[in-house]
Amino acid sequence: MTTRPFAKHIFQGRGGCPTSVDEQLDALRVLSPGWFDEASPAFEGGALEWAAKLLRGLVDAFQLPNPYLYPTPEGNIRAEWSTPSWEVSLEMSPTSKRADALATRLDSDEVRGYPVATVEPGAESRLGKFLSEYLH
Amino acid sequence: MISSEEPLILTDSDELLFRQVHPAWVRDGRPSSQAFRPTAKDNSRLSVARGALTTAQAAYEHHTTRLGFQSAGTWAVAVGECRGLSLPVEADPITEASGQPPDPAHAVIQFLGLSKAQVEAKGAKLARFASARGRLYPAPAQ
Repeated sequence: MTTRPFAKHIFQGRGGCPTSVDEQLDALRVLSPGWFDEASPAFEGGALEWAAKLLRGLVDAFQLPNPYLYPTPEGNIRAEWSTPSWEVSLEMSPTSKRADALATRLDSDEVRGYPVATVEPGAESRLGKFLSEYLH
Repeated sequence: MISSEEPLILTDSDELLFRQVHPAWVRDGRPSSQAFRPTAKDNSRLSVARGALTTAQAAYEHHTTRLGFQSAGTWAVAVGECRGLSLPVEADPITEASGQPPDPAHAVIQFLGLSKAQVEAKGAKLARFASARGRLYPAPAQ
């Protein structure tokens, strides 16, 4: 029987990617070391659990659209959203526990960044408010 | 007189630039913006293939069969879209002398002198153009 590590916590955001965050993170679990280049690492269970917890909190608490998730060659997990006026991303580093949000306005040169150390008190709330500003 | 070493900057706004996207960077048909900006090892130059000199299918086959890399397919942006973002596109044909499989259609989108945030922002905009055009090869399943 196949077990899905995040099956107990399946959640689906509002709009956005049709595949749940949990299923998308499961897809990262199967990537082998060197999946992109010789330096790209595999994704450890703890790293994925950390990202799942952070995303779950943001998507549920702030009613965000379901993000599209991708691995980065450095071992980070990247969430992306597209809206009519903005491209929004959140790159999460399981090693440093940092999350860097970036909002890019499509019809101008406006770019807004919002880096946070997720271990700081209130960081998740501030990050959720930043993302909400562009995703609602 | 123009030297033969002078870089050839592409100017036909309608010319398509084919880009191969790693399978891990496509989710439910949507390519990640990472696929449309150079990685740290790319020296601020994003490899593409010129639509004037090759096809979406031939570019895919060159990348996978001749170079041995993975690809989920060919997406494209136009030269004019790059120029609109102040990203020059330079012809960069790969000759046999390089030791690599020759590729006369090879070109690079230049992301020179930009901050990390600017690179990300411009990559996100290119990804939006490419997504709007859709995957060109293999054709998406109906």
